[in-house]
Amino acid sequence: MKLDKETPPYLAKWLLLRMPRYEEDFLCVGDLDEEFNEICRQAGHRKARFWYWTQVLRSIPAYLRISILWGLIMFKNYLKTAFRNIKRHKGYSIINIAGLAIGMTCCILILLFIRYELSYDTFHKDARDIYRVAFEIPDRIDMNASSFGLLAPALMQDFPEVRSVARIRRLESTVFYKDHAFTEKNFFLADPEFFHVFTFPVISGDPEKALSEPFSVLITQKTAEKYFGDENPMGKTLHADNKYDYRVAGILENPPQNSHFKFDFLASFITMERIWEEYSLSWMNTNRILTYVKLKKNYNPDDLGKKFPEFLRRYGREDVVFHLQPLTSIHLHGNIDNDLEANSDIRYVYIFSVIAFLIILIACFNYMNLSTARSVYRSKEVGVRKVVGAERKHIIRQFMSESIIFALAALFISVFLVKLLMPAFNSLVDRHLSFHFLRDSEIFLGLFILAAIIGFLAGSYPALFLSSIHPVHILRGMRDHKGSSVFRHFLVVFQFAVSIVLIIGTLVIYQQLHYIKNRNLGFDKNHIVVVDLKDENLKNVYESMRNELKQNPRILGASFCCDLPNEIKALNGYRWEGQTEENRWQLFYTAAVDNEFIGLLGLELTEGRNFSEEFPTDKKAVILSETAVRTIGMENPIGKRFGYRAEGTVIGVIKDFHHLSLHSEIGPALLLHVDRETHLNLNYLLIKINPSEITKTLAFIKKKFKEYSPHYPFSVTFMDDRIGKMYRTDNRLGQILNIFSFTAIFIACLGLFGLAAFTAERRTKEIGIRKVIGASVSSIFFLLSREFVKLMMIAFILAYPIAYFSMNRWLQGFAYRTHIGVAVFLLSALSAFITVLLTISYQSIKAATANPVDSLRYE
Amino acid sequence: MKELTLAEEILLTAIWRLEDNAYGVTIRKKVAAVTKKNVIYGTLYNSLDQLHRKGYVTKTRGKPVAERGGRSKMFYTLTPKGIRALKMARELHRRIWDGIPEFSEKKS
Repeated sequence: MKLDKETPPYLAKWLLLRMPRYEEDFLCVGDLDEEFNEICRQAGHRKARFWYWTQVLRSIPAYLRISILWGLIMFKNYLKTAFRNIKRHKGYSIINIAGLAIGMTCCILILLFIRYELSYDTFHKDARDIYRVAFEIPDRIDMNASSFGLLAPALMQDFPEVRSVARIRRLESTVFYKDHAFTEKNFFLADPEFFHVFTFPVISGDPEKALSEPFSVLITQKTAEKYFGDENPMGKTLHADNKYDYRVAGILENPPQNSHFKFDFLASFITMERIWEEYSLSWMNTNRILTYVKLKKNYNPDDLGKKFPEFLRRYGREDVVFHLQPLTSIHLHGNIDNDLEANSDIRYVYIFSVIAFLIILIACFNYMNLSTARSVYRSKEVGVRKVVGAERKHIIRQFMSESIIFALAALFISVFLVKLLMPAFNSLVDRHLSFHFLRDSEIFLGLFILAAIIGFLAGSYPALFLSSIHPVHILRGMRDHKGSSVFRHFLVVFQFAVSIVLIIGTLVIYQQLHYIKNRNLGFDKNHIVVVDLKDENLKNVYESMRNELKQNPRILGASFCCDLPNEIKALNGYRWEGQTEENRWQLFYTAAVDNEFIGLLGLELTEGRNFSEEFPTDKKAVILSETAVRTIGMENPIGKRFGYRAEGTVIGVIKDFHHLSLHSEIGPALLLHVDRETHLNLNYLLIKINPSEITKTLAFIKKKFKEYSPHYPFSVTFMDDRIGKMYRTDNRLGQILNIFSFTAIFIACLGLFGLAAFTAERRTKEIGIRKVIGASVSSIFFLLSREFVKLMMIAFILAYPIAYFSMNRWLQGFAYRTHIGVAVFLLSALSAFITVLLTISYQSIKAATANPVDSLRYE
Repeated sequence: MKELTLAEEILLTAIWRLEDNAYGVTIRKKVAAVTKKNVIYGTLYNSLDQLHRKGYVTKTRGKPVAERGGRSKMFYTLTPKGIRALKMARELHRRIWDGIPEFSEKKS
């Protein structure tokens, strides 16, 4: 025991040994021990131990000072050698920096995109306590963003944990002011509580008061400028749909771009009661109303969720399941029916993160590959450094700092590239990203950390490898290590495996897009012009408008309808003859159409007949789809009573058609007659035209349109374009993946180019001798390419299963999909193969055609 | 040649006085005795390192000693350059203080 206390404190000694320079240069442990023993003898171990501790602890600052000083001195030297090397091997340096810079540019763009995606809707106060109530009817209706009109007041009344509830509903309108007329898509109705739930800055007016009075509207700054210019909009009257007058009661700031819904107009919710005569909020239909709730602070939404079944029983909808969608996750997790805007998908964030990581990895591998391949040139330097007294860690430090210098150089280039590419990237991803390198401290810091990580990653292997070489071996002139070439091969295989996976991904996406484009949708989408109709008065005169249009021989047909055949989303419940209790809440995708709809679109009737003028009762009739008949198990449907209150009859059955995008499965659908209810507006006019002289035909249509609906803006689109737009996100993914796979391949090829140059250079003598003996150019080309081709093969074998499984998962997102054929794999193999051969052929041919005299002259 | 700093001067004189026995422990004690302060090894080593780099002292490793747990000492000796620097310093001091009589008790 006594002996123990008379030795220096263990922990202090351990600390002392963390200062190796002192021990190496000054033998500090001996000095301290000696004096410790002396003090021990004279003043006792307690004092001695205290003395020892003070000495060690107070030496730490001194040690740090001298370490940093030496570090800087050495770093200056490393910097010098690094710059000399960059200058001396310009080609390699350019390849290295370019590879890193391109990789970093992609990575930065993707990271900015991901950051933006994750920022959606976070600007609201208490954003984490806001939820949207979505509903689902298991086995019948997929998750739907809308919910019943009477839900909001019931929630507020029944649950004390609900702080506030607000309903909103899109009400697309044509707005007039003086000589301005625009069709406004982002016209919304909102409850007065809207501003309790959401945080949108108000510029003027009392928003709550504005939303409690019928026909009063709040507009955004942008809208105010659009309609009023320099005038003061407050109190002015906006005319909408040629029927209603809205009073401007306030001005709002433009909603941020990273909001999951963007409004230009916010009118009071009770306006709805005035617009629809037969309007009623119910527990029956959702009427595309969305309900948002704000819960008590940090309240667990699951607790509320548990109370929903009981709550729904009270209101007689036990078949329904409610989901509380957190507001901040709507943008990334909310791809459900009836949402306000096409949302993104968290999977894209994952896919992009993976791509960013892979591209950076490829760029790093490039660097590693080239640095280790070039180790022959650098190994002499390492040898000399080691002989002079550098230790392994010094060499490691040197190469690490070198790679970090490369990474920083690449970072600065990529910052410029990002600035340059930002607008193009923004239009590609359809976002409003901004990049302020110096102003945004998060980005500034983040990018430096990124560069440091990349430098560290890229430099780690070359540093470890080069520092491990024994100086005797180097200076004696031993060449490349076996181990290093195996590792290099691994890196090349990895790079190409990643590139091939990306190529296959791109090809599969394009194949699926092609499939979508060419799939028979069940109706004819070609040569159909879609005219947006806003004028409600047209409903009384549409038959005569049709007759006038048909007088033009190039117009083959015209149909007025409430819904387009490719987006029949409205879900309604019905009563019918022989309805079972089980089917009580069955909802149907409902479209309101006229007599000519079926004929114009080439929909096929399998039973019964189309709507016809000859039968006045057809106004109340319905036509079911085959799936609808099957779902409700109706036998001999023709003539059965069917309707909101079973008031009409089924007059026909049509073959299924894709009334939603191919992502969704065909559901039970039915067609009603537009003349059935007064509130069913004629929203669209479909015109089948002759493909010749389209401009003339369009001019004719416009003329007729202006005759019947002189005040409204004329807007025309083509059916196939509209359908194409439904796959915008998929198209975009294809494009983005395409670009990134090209980048990945490009970076990988840069590395390969360097590597091929190196291999050719290393084997110059061998090639020279072979040529002297009589080898042909082609055999040498083959010799040099063989190795890379072998690596490619391994990469293919690794890449195929990965690509197959991941792309199969992507395809699962489509209810109707292509299958991944052999062609995709062959094509990807071929394209990768050609790229590689082209890349290495320059070097190989150069080496193969070189004059052997030049290569053998040395020595 | 540049003048020595006071710290350098103190260290060099300590090594000079210690002659053959100048190593960490003795130097530290000497310096502590002169300055009447607790000298920390860390700062001492840093200063010794600087002297070494400037070429005022040389280092030699001694034989392992039992009382140091079998560890050897690092001995320091002045180089001719070091001796010259010390001489210059002494000359400088002589000139600085030349003609100034001893301070009387009252004044201090």
